[in-house]
Amino acid sequence: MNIIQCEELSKSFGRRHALQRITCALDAEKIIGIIGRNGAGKSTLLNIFAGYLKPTNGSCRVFNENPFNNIHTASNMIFIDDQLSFSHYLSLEDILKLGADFYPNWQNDLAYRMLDYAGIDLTLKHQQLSKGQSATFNLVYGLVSRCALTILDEPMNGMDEVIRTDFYRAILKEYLAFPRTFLISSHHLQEMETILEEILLIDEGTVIAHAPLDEFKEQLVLLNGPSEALAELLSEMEVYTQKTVTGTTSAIVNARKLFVSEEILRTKGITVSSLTASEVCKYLTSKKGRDIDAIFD
Amino acid sequence: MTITPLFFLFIPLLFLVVVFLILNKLGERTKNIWTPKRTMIGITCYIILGFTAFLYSSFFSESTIPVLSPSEIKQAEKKFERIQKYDQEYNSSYLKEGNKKKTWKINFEGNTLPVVINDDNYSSLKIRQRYNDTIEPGKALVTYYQFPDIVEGIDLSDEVPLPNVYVAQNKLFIEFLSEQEVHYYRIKATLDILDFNREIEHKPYGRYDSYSSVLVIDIPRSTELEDSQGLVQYID
Amino acid sequence: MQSLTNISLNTIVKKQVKWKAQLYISALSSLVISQIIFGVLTSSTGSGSSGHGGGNISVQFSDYSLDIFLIVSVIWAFIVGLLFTTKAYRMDDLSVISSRTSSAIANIFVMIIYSFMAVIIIVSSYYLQVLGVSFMEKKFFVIESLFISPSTLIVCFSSICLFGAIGLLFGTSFKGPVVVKIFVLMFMLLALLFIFMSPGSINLMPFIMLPNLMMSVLNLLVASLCFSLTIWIANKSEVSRK
Repeated sequence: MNIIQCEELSKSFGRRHALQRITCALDAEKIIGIIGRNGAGKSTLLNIFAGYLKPTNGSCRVFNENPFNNIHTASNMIFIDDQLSFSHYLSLEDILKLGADFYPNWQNDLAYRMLDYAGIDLTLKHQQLSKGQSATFNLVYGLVSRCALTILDEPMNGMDEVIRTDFYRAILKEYLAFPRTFLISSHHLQEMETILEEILLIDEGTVIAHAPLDEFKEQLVLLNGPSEALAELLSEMEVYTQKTVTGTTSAIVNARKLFVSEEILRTKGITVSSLTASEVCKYLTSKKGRDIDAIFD
Repeated sequence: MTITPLFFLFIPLLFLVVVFLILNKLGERTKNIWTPKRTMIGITCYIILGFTAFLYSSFFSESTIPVLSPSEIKQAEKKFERIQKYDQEYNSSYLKEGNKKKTWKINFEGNTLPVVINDDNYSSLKIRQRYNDTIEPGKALVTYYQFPDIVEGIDLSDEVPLPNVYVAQNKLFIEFLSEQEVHYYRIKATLDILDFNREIEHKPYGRYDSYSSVLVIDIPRSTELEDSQGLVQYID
Repeated sequence: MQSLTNISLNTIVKKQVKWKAQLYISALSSLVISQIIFGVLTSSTGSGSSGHGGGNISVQFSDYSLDIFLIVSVIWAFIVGLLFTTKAYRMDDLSVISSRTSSAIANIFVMIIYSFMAVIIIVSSYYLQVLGVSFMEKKFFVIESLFISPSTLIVCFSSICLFGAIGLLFGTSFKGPVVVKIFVLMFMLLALLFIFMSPGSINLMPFIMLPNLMMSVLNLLVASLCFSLTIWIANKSEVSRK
């Protein structure tokens, strides 16, 4: 069942087009990574899902309703990012009480245990937390509220390595304990790969890939072989990047357009190897012919 | 009310806004001490204090100065009109014993009594001359009568200063003291802006002081009062 | 799929009001403090004074009425209304279940509750001032009326509500859609222009001459209009944390 459905969704801020004609459908009860580079439009899309922003064009439906300013969506959704703020008067303990009062599926004990694990003093105010601590607290807040749609916008920003790995596990465990839809946006795909089921890749305001993780990874392949053998092959297809060192060329190409079987390739001395998801993302979103080295030359 | 007085309000308003903003900033600074609970207790205490003040005021702080009700003021107004009428008809019967405040007995020589009146502030005191057969020649009786002097429902008659009356160089001097100021602190548990504007038309207030004090000089019939200033009127 | 929770707008508004009323309480303490400040400042002069000269006695009256406290409260309400719609407060709303509608309605209820509290605080401040004056001035202390009539209190409440509503509406419109912003700016410009061009044309007299209850009803009517506009604009407003 689709939890979110977007059709021809566009959003512009003045002249800037943040999102352009996005059409996608997200399944319920999955951990979905919203991946994209800085300024790709991830946060804008998530804000529209959360009902904070109104699409300029097109439609967006969450739980089969228009999410904008919708109390039904709001009561089944939580949006966690580093801007989450609470009144100056509330200590963390009070904030947990606040959450418990509002969210019907709130897990207070779990919150206490997780915060204790993270070593966060509950008598502090939210404003007194360090960047990493507040990110941890926000994530805990998002997890224990157990909303059917949990949106985590860059949840791990500022956390240290140890806590990050711990909390990726925590997300997974919580997901298993109470299956729900997680939308996690991040630009560190590498460390999230283990928990993601699906990836929605956004670049320059458009969806350029939306697939289960495995399928996503198989989109691109790395070809390695003698330059002469590859040259012919590469001339017929889209090449994402290509490097030639002493007669050996390595190139990344779109796997779906590689109509030659692996057997034949092997006979030509070409090896095919797969890429990691984050590498795929990198190549899919990198602009052609752009090279940081060029700036310094 | 036009907009012009509103411009005069502008500076205090600005002051108020500044006060609020400072308080707001202070509130953020002291948020650790003034938690919502303590703030609520503080406000409750303030309200209780105010309520106690109300109880105390309503039981114990009695004003010694009565305020006349509009109907009482109306009555007083009628009385004034009567006094005025009598006075214009040279009829002294309105000068009752009860209104007597002070009497000066003076002696002089001869058959004429020159009167010198020093009144810098053109006070409302009326001076009347009356022949009295019971008084021996060479003597005169100056009597000060005080009638209610009502301003906005408050009788000022006790506050009105008496004139100085004395004889020097065979002349009768009547001297008024310089203007006295009385300051009342009045509790009006209403919205004055509204009341002031609403009552301006049918307000029974104002001041009825044209006959609030009368000085009567009783002289024997044989004596002539020499009044060069023309301030003394005859009365029967 | 887990069943979705169905919480009514009513429930959410109730919860928001409950928390907001506690968390915004510093607004009331600033009202108390400013009333104390102005109460002390006017303790020797009163809210108004009048004088009668003539004769050999001149009379000065210092009137201790509710005016100064009401004026302070009314401006307070406007500022508080504006503050409630500032970014910090709106961001806090996003951390719990809320929609713009529910937050706007909750703010309105908090405003109404606080207006009611403000009236009680006015009464307290007034009697404290009266007590102070009665201790300082024993001889020339005149009590014309000591009991505040209920209709006066209703006028106070409705006026505070009205200004709070205007504050909320103002604050909300500047966070609303561009069209609303432009409209409000135009309206303000025109109003200012109008005031400067012909200051005499604004006549509050017919309003002041209304009986207390009529005036309150009028105040509350305008206040409800402002409240409805606030909700309407809030419905259309976007929020962004960035």
